[in-house]
Amino acid sequence: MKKKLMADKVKSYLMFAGPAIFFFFAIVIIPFIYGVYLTFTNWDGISAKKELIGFANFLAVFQDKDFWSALMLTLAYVAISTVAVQVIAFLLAYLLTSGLKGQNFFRAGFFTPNLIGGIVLGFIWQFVFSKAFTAFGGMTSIPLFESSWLSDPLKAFFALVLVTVWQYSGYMMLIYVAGFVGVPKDLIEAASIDGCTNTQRTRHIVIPMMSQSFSICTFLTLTRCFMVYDLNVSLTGGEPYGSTIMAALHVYQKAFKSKKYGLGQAEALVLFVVVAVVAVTQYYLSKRKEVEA
Amino acid sequence: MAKSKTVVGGAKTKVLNAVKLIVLSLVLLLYMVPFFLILVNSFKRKITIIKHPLMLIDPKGFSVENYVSAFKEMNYLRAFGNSLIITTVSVLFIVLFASMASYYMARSKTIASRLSFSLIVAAMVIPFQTIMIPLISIYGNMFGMLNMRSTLIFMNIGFGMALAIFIYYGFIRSGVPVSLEEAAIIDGCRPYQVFFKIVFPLLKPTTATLIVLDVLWLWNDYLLPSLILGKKALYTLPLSTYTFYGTYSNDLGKIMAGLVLTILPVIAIYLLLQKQIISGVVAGAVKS
Amino acid sequence: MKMKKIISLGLVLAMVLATTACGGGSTTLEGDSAESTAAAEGTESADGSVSTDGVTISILNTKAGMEKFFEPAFEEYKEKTGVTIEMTSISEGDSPYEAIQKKYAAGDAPTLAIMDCNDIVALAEEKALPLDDEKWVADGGDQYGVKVNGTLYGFPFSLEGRGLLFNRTAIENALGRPFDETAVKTLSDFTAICDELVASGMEKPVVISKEDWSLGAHFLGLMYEEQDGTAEGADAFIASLKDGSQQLIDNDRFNSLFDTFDTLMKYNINGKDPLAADYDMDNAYFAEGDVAFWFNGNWVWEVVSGFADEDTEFGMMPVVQDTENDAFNTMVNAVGSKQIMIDKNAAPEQIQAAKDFLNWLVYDETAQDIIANQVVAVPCFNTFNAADDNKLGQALKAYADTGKTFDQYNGLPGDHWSACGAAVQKYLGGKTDRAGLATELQEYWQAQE
Repeated sequence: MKKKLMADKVKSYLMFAGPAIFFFFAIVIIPFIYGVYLTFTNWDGISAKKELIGFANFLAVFQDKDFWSALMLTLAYVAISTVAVQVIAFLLAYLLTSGLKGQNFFRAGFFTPNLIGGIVLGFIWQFVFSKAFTAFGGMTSIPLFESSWLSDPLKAFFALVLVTVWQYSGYMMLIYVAGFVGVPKDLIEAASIDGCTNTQRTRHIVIPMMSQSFSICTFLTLTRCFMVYDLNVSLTGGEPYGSTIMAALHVYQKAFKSKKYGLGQAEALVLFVVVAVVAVTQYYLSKRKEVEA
Repeated sequence: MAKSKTVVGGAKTKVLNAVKLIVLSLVLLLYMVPFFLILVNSFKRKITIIKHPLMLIDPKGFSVENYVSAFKEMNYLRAFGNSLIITTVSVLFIVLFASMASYYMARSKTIASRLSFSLIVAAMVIPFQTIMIPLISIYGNMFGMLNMRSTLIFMNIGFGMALAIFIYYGFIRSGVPVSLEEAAIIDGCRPYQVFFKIVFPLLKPTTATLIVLDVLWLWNDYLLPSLILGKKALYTLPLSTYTFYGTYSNDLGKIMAGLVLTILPVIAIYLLLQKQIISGVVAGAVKS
Repeated sequence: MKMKKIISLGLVLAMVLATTACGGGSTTLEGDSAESTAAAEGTESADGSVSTDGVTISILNTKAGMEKFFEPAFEEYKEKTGVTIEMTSISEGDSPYEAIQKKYAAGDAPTLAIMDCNDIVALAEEKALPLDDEKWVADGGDQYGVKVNGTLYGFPFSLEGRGLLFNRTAIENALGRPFDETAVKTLSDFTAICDELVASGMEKPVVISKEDWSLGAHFLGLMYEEQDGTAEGADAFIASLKDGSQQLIDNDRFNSLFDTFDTLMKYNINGKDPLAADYDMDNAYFAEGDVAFWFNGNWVWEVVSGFADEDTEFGMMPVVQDTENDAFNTMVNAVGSKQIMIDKNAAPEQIQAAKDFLNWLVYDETAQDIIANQVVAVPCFNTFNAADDNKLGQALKAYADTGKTFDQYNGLPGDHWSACGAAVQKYLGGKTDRAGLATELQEYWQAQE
């Protein structure tokens, strides 16, 4: 009897989850494990020769100054972008759920940057920063636009942040909109009857109810920003003088340009662990908050 | 302030709304600047694009020349067909397999089910660069599966699973009542029947969201297709747009036209499905 | 309950095992898909005994933008020879080496690959087929093809040279007299011309491109090449940088080159914000005569010719330095850039077809027309010439024909151009001084194994 139950369970697992698990393992997990194996070799990416060298690559990761500075830069980028995206997306969502005329049109409009892929976005904005902004600066003599943002390390960094915010705020806005719409009407009415002001209502009812949206949006923004590659390549390419190389781009260059595949792969793994730790911490912290709220 | 004093606050609300509307319009305008620039410049000659990027119309006149040559050189119809096949088939399978798996994972409390789900969510933070070379080593070198559309579709399905299951899982847990299924089982429905007749239709809003997100991702994807599809005849739209990027010079006019031609179908779909996308469909994501 | 645990664990385990099993036989994965045919390499295919009818060969093109000129000819080629040619281009942002690395990883090695010279050096002995016995060797291949340990591995696709390009018409219009570039023998002559141009109204007579390949590979490359003009000289110089017996800041060539660079910077039209330079704009400045001089190479003709008036004249001159009796003040760099290699692990009939194809590039009129007139390249072979209206190409050819060229050094590591290019960018942007630049470059070399 028990055995039959078991067989049934296996059968239903395979029936429903089988195909998904098969594809997932074949495409993501197996290559990932194979990639981990490569971190223990001295493979240069081309030759047939590939020797096991133990943890040498991981030791080298700790000696690679550039990797750690790229990682620090990535952390700064993630922190600033994540906060900015949440603030703007939240404000947009707030305005676009207040019953304005044409709010659907606006929602659609703000989502538009997501219709384009990362590499293309980078090229479009490169054109905007290096040509359109400077032409605009030349016409108006606004100092901020007179020279290209991409020639100064700090401005180039904020160019990356700006494009990220531009793209993700529309996406996250939709999730916040859904959150606002999901706040039960009767709760708001009850609050109003009890004499809450608008601000009080937002602070004590709407925002706590939205904490779930917060945690999801933060999770999504966080993980995406950590792995930024396309935009980095096509917008700044790491320039000026290598000052905007972020972790994923550094890893890629290590593996391919410097011909140290094993080291690059080991650095990618470190990046993965960092992202995983940050993402999981964030997720659990916000989950706990949700419960408290 | 304005909330319940509806009668007195009418004028005030109106002013406030007008201000909001103006602010939003301005911000939206700023958001649209890059698109506008691309569109305007796609009708100009390269030299004018470079020297006067903000000029609306080329001194030598408005010209569709870029479009004509981009259309021809990209082999637009062929690339469009490839993009269409790859995107549609991939999305179809992602939706099917992911919804089935999420349903199982959301309902079953076995270790295997929980383990699978955690693994899939954890995989969302794997950087693509980590698996890029191993992936093409395995499927190219071992199985010789490169230069086939079906290989790319196969991989898209694998890569699409994580987000799709993540989104479906949350929605099923919170949005699909178990009682309906139990009733169906009592009525003698088999597991697949329960899923396809009862559960799947209830997932419609989430499915719509997912389709939109996946279509956007796959239609614009560049890196993976560039690794798999090495033959011109198999190029997707983004791949063929990149043929205008040269080593020392970029064919800006054609690039702009190519971009417009690539985005156009997406915009069309977007306008068509706008309602589904906007009206809270992302709720699926929220509820997970 | 337990059972499921075991099953799921087993599933994971099986996957892991399958993976490591794949990994164990290392060569099966990253090796060559056609390893077995390696032995067949050179199976007397040179005499043409292998039939190539119905064979397909692939070309990895890393000179993006050129395939559209070749593709129509490939149709014709197929009808004539039965050989199908598939040309694929490099992805945006990839270097040739990155591109071929992915191809190898995927077991999809191209039969022919158009690579940069130092890539050929890096790949030659493991991947490339020796080409010493080919017919075209005597017609220019020997002079410009890349050799490793005396064996020829690269087919030189085109001759490229770098130096100071100049817009002759712009200079002559400004000065009101003919311009003789051979009279500019040293840096002080050059500075005098620039000052004259400034006085006549051309405020900034120079443009410097900020691209890392221009600064890191092309300009900095001169430092290695002009030690004594030989690869051995460059090797020895690099070795002395590594072991510290040479301090870069004390090196004469480094200093004289950067004296010249300082002068270029002084007159740079992008001077206010040199790192904001835009490559397309640079082309336009030069073509339209807003500036007179540009450190670059003859390949810019493809773009410049599109921007310039037909009767504007252009030329090329050495990167003159503040040095006495220096032969390098009379020579430009010339190299058979974009070298084609044949994959030695390809099937014998593919190798034969590939060899036939290289001959076609040298001897067939259709191919010659494409290379000279459509790609606007300067051929390395004496079987045909650059297009007459390729003004920069003709200028380079004139130096080559009179022996006033020196070789490119091909021993630089793959990340040299981006890493050291970044250092020169800093210098260009005024973020570091000469000593800082020297330190950074020396550190780069000392970090190399």
